Amino acid sequence: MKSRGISAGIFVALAFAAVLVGACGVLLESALRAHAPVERSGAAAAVVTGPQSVESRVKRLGEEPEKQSRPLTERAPVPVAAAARLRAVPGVSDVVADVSFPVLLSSGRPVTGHGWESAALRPYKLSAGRAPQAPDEVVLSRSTGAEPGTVVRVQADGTPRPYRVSGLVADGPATAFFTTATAAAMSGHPGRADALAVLGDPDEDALREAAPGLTVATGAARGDAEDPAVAAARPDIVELSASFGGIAVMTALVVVGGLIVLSVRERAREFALLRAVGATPGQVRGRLVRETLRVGAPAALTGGVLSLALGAAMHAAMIREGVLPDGFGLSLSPLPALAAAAVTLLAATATALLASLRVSRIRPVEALGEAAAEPAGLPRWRVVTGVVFLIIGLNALGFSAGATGPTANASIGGLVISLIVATAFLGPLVARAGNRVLGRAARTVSPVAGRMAQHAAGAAALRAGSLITPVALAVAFAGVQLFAQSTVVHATRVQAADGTRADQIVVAAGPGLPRGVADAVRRVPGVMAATPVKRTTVVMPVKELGEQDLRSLNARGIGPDAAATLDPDVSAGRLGDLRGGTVALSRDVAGGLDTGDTAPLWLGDGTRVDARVVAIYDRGLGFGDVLLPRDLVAAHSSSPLDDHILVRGHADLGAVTAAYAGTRVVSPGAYQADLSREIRLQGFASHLIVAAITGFIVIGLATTLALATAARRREFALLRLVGATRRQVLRMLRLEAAIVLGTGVAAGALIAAVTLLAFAAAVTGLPLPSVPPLTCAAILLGVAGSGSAAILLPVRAVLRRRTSPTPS
Amino acid sequence: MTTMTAQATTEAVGLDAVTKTYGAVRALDGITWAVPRGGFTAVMGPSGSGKSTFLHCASGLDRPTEGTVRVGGVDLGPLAEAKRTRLRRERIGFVFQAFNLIPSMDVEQNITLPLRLGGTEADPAWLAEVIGRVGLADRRTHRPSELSGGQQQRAALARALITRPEVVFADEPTGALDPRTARGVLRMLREAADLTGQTIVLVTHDPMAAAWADSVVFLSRGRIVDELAAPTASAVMARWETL
Repeated sequence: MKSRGISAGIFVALAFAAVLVGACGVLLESALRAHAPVERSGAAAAVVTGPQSVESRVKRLGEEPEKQSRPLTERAPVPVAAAARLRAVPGVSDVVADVSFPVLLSSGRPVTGHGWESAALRPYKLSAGRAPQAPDEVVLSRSTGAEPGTVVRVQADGTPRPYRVSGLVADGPATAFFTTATAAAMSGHPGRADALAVLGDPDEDALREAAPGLTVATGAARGDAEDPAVAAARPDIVELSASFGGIAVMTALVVVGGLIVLSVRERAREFALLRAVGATPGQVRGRLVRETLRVGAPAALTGGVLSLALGAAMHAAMIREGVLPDGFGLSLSPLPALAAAAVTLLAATATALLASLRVSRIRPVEALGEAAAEPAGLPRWRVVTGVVFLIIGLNALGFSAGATGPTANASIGGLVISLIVATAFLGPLVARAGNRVLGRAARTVSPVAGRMAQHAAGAAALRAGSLITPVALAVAFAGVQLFAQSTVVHATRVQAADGTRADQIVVAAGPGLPRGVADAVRRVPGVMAATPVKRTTVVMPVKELGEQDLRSLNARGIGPDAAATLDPDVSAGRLGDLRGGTVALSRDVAGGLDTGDTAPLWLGDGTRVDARVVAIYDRGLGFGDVLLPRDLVAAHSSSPLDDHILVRGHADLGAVTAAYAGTRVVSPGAYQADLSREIRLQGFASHLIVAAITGFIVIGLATTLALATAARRREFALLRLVGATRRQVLRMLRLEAAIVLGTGVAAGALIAAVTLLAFAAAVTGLPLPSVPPLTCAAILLGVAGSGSAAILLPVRAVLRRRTSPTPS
Repeated sequence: MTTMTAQATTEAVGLDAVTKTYGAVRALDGITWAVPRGGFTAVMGPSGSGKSTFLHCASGLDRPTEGTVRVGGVDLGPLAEAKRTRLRRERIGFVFQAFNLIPSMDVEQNITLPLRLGGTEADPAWLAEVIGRVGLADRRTHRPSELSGGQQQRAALARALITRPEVVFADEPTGALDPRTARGVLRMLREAADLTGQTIVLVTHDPMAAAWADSVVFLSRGRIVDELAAPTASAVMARWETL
């Protein structure tokens, strides 16, 4: 039976929707629960660090100031003096001031350096030799391959220096232990520890009281004190999974809504008969909703269960590609599955209710007629709702023209969603318009079949409308998501390439470049300028459209002669003034700030500074949104090492790279290729989810089209009976498919084009979005190909069976 | 008031100056007519005479443009859609030409559908009698697709009778049946009128079918043009020729 096919279609679509929503839920839950693994502080009862996040009150439009918080990406140090008060807490047997700093062994292997007293935290046990006692002694992990008694060269924030291996530790992450004094000196911030680890069995609340303003981490949270990367990645993953979960729900509404509209249309006569024998409109609506729930509940539950698998797979892929930091654990619980099932059911019920409004318009007399004609015209509420969404969309377009950066990004998300919803509501009108244009073309191609196709597509504008919407949705969604990403990558590359004046770049193979490298490079004859660049993340309230948001921004600390090596396209002020407590801001985040104003911001370790703005520049994508003096950044980072050095002049730097371990010289081109690979990787997570959602849309689209075509069995049989050849019917359908799919693809492409143009202008400052032709062709062919297959394959089966028209 | 009660006792359905226009077309043109209680009346007319519109308006499926329609003494005019539906469910039974049964329900479920829609159960004795009378006692659990055309129409008739309605409207119920099967269905309509005093309005253009009724009303261009009591097939045919 026909309705069984539709039920199966609705089942599949709902199950897929639940899988997608649930998978986003798994990522969300994992992000909410994730902590870095506890590896070095397993024996510690608690780890005390500086505040690991920044909190501030920001101004909101028409509301009370809102408290917002952002995590720190670097370790927040804690004064060693605080250890005394912790020691006084009853139950504390000892407090260890732990310092961590990256060092590079002469073998090229990066390890983490600590003072020997930190060994007690895991605890690390000596497997050979003894603890370091002299300033030039070191204990290494056995995995480094070192032998006790030998001398190794170790590079910290300077040239490599010789240390004698006094002992080895067997297990645990690769480490180098120095004497306490040596470690404190090497860490670069004496008097401050990266963490105070508490040994013994103290009361947690008493510890918190003894450490006001500091973070006391116990249990799994101790891992975040060891490595803040997981905690720092959490908010982004929370945001990503929540927003894509929302998109998945929206998509499910459109796809399932289309299928339900189709099933209502299909059963118009049955509903009319029910009405005639005494069912009130409410009863018919209730019946439709109940039927949807009967199919929807098992579908949503099945999908919910399967979503756990997809969520785990996506998590695994993101760990494998390095998008998520190692140690970002997977949390699997029934919660996302149940939530996905509930959300999906709710969405299905909502669409069924919406579709059932149409049922009230089915007059009982329709059951009396032999043929149930396609109802003409569009209900007024649909037109009104559609136009409202269109206006919201255009409003978002105006908004994004005035905004920049993430606000523009968000309003563009709103733009594409409202345009697609508008298409869903106005689908029949779009179908009619498309039919007028493409139908004429079809008639030119084939006068007889073309005219028939145009009639069929035009007579059933309502049906065609519900077919066009998923087509447009697939094209618009995939297009906007993929090409917005490629536009950002392109803009970043262009900005970085245009703004880099360096002739060569010194990069680090290990943890970073010691402070002395830049000076050494500068001393090489023929080098005109050498700018050390150190990346970090700063937190700053950014004002846009009258509202403030606390945001984590990509920042770079740059050396004093930056003006000679990089050109961020300064539009106000001078980059040369960047020294001391000053800052340069990109146009995207400057908000209302101008040169001479004071920008309040928090550095990598959570230190608040009021920096004077000395320059505003345009190339925020290529060079980060915030530029700070290198020394300010280095003083407030976990590691004092630089990321790379921009060098002006073609001198041979071989002597410098020979003197320092883990350094190499690359051309600006090679450097930028690395950079864009990195940006592309950042988009991996969203690509993964975009692929999943696009796949879902295409499945929904194919189901809808296949069912809509199969439902017309009688029509095709009748055409055959009145003398149309099989070829003629197929030809008519091919042309009809071309009209319907063409209209859908055109509508989707239009939505994508409008959105991408707005995006390119607002976010990247480029006049045109970057659209790789191959990807573009793949999207169009994928959607149109699966669409035409879904239309034409069931017809072949129907026509081969040589069915005669039987009333049923 | 007295006239109302008098009408209510003698008429099952009453139309007063009922006019229905579709744009410029007057499908019904001021029809005033009362269906006598307990009678079996046939409505005849050529295509386009307003037969279907007459049926839709008289049964409350559609609203007239002007005039009033009463079913069992109740004026349908001021009733909202849900109330009209409820009234239709309780007081009117329908038999259509085709697509009479819900494909997913079996015979018994189809027959008791109006009762279940009203939230009541069928009286088992009455259900058994109705099903027995239409000869489907051994077909209770069959699906419509497993029934012949005549059996489907008989199931539809049983559904129309199950609520003991004020009136049963049958719209060309034999239009898609062969003469023999058609006679079986018509005989059952006749029996319903004779045995339980069921009021029946049969809309048809088949003189043979009309001859089963107590009287025949002729429609032409939206007006009642004639009425024939105790019709025979040849008398109906003769009148038909002059329309």
